[in-house]
Amino acid sequence: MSSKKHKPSRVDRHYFAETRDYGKVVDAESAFFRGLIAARNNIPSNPSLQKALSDVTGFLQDGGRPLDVLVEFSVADPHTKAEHTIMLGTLLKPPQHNSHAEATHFLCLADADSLLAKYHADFDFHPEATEKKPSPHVQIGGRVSDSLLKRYPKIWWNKDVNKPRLPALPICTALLWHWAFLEYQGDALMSEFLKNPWWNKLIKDAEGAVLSPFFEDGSRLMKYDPQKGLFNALYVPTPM
Amino acid sequence: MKILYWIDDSRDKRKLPSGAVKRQLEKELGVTLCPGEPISDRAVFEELLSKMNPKNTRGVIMDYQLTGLGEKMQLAFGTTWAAEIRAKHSSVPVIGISHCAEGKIPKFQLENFLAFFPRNKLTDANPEIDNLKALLNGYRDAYRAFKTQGKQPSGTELMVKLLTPPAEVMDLLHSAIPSSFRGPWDKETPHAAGRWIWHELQGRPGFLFDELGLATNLGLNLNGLQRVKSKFDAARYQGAFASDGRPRWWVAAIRSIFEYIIGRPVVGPVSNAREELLIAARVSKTERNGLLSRAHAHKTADEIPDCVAYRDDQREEDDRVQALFKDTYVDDRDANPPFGFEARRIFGPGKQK
Repeated sequence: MSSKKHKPSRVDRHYFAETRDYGKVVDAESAFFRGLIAARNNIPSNPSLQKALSDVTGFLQDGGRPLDVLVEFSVADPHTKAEHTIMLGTLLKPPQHNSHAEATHFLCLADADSLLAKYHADFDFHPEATEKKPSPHVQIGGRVSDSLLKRYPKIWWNKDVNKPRLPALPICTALLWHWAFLEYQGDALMSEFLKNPWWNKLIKDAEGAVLSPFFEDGSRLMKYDPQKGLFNALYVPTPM
Repeated sequence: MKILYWIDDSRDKRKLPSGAVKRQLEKELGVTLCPGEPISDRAVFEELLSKMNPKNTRGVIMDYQLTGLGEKMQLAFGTTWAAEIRAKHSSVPVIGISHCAEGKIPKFQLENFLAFFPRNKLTDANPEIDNLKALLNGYRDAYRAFKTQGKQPSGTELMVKLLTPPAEVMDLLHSAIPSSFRGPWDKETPHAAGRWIWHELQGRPGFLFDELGLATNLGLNLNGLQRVKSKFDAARYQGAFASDGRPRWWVAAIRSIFEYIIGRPVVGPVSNAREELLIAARVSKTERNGLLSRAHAHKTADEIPDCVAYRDDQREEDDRVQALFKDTYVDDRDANPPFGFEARRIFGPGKQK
């Protein structure tokens, strides 16, 4: 009998399927938060971070649970020196029998009483959605949670405008926080994260888990299936 | 046979266990109840304490509030006497009883007892012997762990030996164990660690499910749970202070068992596949609908309950419901649970979160 194995075609599956796999999203988040808890005693002091770590333990024991994490840091704007708060949020909603999964990561910037800017990154797990969206995508502005609205009644964007959505790199909590830390690396607390080897190991692992499959699929598409178009493939294909 | 001291002031002898209940307690715990009558004076307690031999003592049941002592009918607190017993004989567990509700006793007084029973739970018919036995055995195990700790003692290792957690939750549990139990133990630590295991680990949601929590997680009601419960025995908490009267299951171990039973991975809550679980348990189609959980105050079964909540803000343990998370709230008393534990929720629209 031939021992030759069946070699799967490089074009016989949807591109970016792994990127849009809710189970993989859960795995990446779990690995990051477990790593963070292991390093808990070395984490720079931040009360919201300690609370977030406690809040995620239910999710870490059962990835079928929702995840709702919000951490915040006080930072000074590098140019104006104005005091701002940045809020970094992760919301994972697992699929229920009557709804699709959702995964959102956001960065929100506020001053004393207003929300100044918000960027959120979504995966789209709903192939039959009537409105086609790139997945993953980044959106500027958009909806605001009730709890944030209570704290910041003034918002500097129209929260009813959802377009456009920009095709984007996939993101996870580790990469969202790392992005924020890089943006504010002049801040003492943020730079403390960046120079810690345990933090950089977590980021390396997160990039491996989240970005590697994305780039592998992208490069496979460009090499073997260029007529399909990379941007086209980022819009979730409708099942045949 | 070992002695279980029952220290009670009662001017009314009927408050002590008697007859069949006394015989049941003695038989199932393997003890002789002593002294067999109420204590009328502090001097009697002092004499009893001086004669107490810890090697021959299974434990002490202590009335929280001792009334009518001595000729002047004075009041004494069992908490004070409990502290004296523990100071003299740290290997002896002291368990409290009272007529008043536990919630009405100041926390610092409760802490002198390993745990606490409303009096009728030990003196009426069908006393909670499983729980009493679990407390006595659990404390014995915790004390032995302290006595046998090595030359380089690690409290964390002692706790892990006592709790026997599944591998999936080991790292989280390490972070949740209070720092006061992580270093070398002293003679007071078994008591404090025992209280944590009984009240926090087994009492709060977070690491362990109780029956209603497990049923809700599986998408079933309590009747449904009875049909599948044995399949989750591998997740059952078997560590120190485990009680058949208060069963618990490790949260982290449920999903893998569930997926093994139904033969496929589940994305999202396992309750999404609850019907498959019942099919795997050979429950007939006609029975299945009656075994599924329903969200409290909802007429249809369209939405699967995703949390357990107190029915109202009286927060009675025996009055909890399976509810939708969005129909519940957390009140201020429970807003900041210890690391790794979850806030207990209350059904109601008042403070939705």
